[in-house]
Amino acid sequence: MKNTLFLLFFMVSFVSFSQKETKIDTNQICFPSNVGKQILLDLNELDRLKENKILTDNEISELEKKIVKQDSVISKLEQKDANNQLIVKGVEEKYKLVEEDNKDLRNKLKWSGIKSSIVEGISGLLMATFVYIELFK
Amino acid sequence: MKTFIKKYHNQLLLVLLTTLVVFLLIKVFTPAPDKSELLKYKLNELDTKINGLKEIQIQLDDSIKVYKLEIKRIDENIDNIRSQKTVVNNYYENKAKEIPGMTNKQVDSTLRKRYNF
Repeated sequence: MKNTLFLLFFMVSFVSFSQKETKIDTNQICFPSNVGKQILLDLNELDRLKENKILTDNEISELEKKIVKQDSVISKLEQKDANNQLIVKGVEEKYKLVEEDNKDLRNKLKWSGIKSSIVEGISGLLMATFVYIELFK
Repeated sequence: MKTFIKKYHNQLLLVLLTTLVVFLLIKVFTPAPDKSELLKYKLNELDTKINGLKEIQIQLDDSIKVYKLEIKRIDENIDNIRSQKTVVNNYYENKAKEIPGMTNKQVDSTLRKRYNF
């Protein structure tokens, strides 16, 4: 009986010993500190790039706005150019009209000189006729 | 014919001279059409057209001024963004220089802080 009890105790303790095992926590991982530092460097780079992306997007949006405004300025300048051409054409037309008028006035002046000569000639002729008639008839 | 001319040469000469004189008088005293009113009208029309165009030019100049001011404002925004980028890059460069000198505890706490564990 004593031996049986001893054997039983021994077996139970053996079984309990054999059940003991090392448990691994799968929720946690462990890595060397240099890997941790590398992770931090990578995260730092990620943060930098994220912020740069936001700022670059803003810059692109501003540049697009600038392009739209510059296109509008170009369009207005083209309109101005077309208007300037019309103004130049108008001024040229005015100049042409005034030049033609000047030419007309010069002709009129010349013609008025001729007219006075004709009137003088006719008057002379009439006078000569009258004198001729008075003296010789 | 010769005798006719010899006989009436004085009368013929008188008729010819009278015709010439009448023709010259008509020519001399016919008033030339006055073009000055038409010219004035045409010049006024052109002036109105040119002044209208000048008004449009002034309006266009004003619009261009407004656009240029807006472009200046956008340029300022772009400069601001670029300086922000420089600040951000400097900040992260300095941070990157600090990381290799960190202790294990600092690395651990930084990661804990970031991921809340």
